[in-house]
Amino acid sequence: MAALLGKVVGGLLILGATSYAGWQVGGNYARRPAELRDLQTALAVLQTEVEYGATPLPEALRSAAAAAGPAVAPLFARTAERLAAGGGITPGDAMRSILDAGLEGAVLRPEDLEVMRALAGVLGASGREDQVRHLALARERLVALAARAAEERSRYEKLARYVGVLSGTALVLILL
Amino acid sequence: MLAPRVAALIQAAALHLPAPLEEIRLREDRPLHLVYSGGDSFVATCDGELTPDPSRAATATHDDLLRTFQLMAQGSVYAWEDEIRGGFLTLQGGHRVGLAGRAVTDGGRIKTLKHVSSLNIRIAREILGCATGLLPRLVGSGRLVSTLLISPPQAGKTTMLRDLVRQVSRGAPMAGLRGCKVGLVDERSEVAGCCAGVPQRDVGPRTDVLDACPKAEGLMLLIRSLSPAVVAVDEIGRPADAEAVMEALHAGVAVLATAHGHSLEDVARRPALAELIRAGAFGRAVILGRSRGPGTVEQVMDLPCYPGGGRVAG
Repeated sequence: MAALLGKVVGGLLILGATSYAGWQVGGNYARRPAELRDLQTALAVLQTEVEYGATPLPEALRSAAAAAGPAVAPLFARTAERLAAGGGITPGDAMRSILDAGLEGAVLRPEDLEVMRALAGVLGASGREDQVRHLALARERLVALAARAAEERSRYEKLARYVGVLSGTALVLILL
Repeated sequence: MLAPRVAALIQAAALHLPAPLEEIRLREDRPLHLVYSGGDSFVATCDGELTPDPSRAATATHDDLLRTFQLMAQGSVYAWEDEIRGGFLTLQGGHRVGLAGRAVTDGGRIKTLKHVSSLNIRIAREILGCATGLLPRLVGSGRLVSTLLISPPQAGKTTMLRDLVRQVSRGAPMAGLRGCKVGLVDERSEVAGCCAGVPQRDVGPRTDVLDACPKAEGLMLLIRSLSPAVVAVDEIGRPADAEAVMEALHAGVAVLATAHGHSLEDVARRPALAELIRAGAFGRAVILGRSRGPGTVEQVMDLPCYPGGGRVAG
């Protein structure tokens, strides 16, 4: 009797763990398009600040951070902080150092961050027209990445969750 | 404000300078160049010694220029487009940076500069009291006579104008002048060195500064809305400037102005200024030079003055 109870509890634990893992992986597929959209929104705000406000970067970056979601906002907020601290650092250096440290809590992939890294190299370093062009280009690249991420999501989000539940079930059946 | 590498070199070199630093010049792939009163020199590669030999000097790299330019623009080059188009930036503290590089033109006019390859940092010096000797000669019947300061570049024209503005605004009992309201049009942010509209230099307690404003338009605005007794303006020369100066005189406002040149004849060759002088806009012309260092008053001339505004004719 006790042995059976142990098996049932153990089985439930295994099932719970694999389902949770599958749920997480599926969730990442769902969050990436949202985070890419947040990045786009932040860049759109940045572009407006640059184009119409000619706002200096630290302030412009802060408005971008305010408009972005919680996962990507730190990228802009911390770049602004580092810039405001001064010490001979350019906006490119500041943003790259934040990207190198990684964005905890975000599920963005290296290729997504690569877009920001490319932008960092020219950030604030040229005239208004040029900045607007670079910002628009970065957004276009993010749109393309977001489309692909959405496609992956539709394909893999549910799949990952099913795989989690089903692999757990299979494991339990084998171990029984 | 400078790229860290250049800053360290210049800091070391500053200890060896024989006279106060006037300019720091960075040119891409060429030696670091320092200009001080009475001479100039390059910065040697090791421990910042000075050398007259460019081949022994440390050069400024592309990265140095790029970094310095970005730092000066506070990381936001796009926010200073108008200034860059005009070829200069004003730093905090009123120092000015001249720029050269590749001009991007649109219909024959400079749209912006890219690949900035030369930076000339002019260290602004405030010499309080440099106009003390001059001021009494510009006063007639207790009022300031309209004056044109004439000087070649680097002879202290702007410094002199700034101190005149300060003293006129504060009042100079020694010269028999009570403090009066001064309006200053500072198109190139050179006189008051404004940062976000606030003067970084002492321009006196009764002075209103219109920063970064075109001269002619600025003069009219000041006269209409701020009721100054004296208006001051740097580097006049265009017909529109002359018209605005005449307008000021008709309104009974004394004018302090400066112009590039070595002599009154030099200045009178420019049509707009010739017209002003002929009309008697200025009661005094002051020639500045460098014969005893920058800011030397070489000559003060009385000019036949326009009788309006109750000022005494020269």
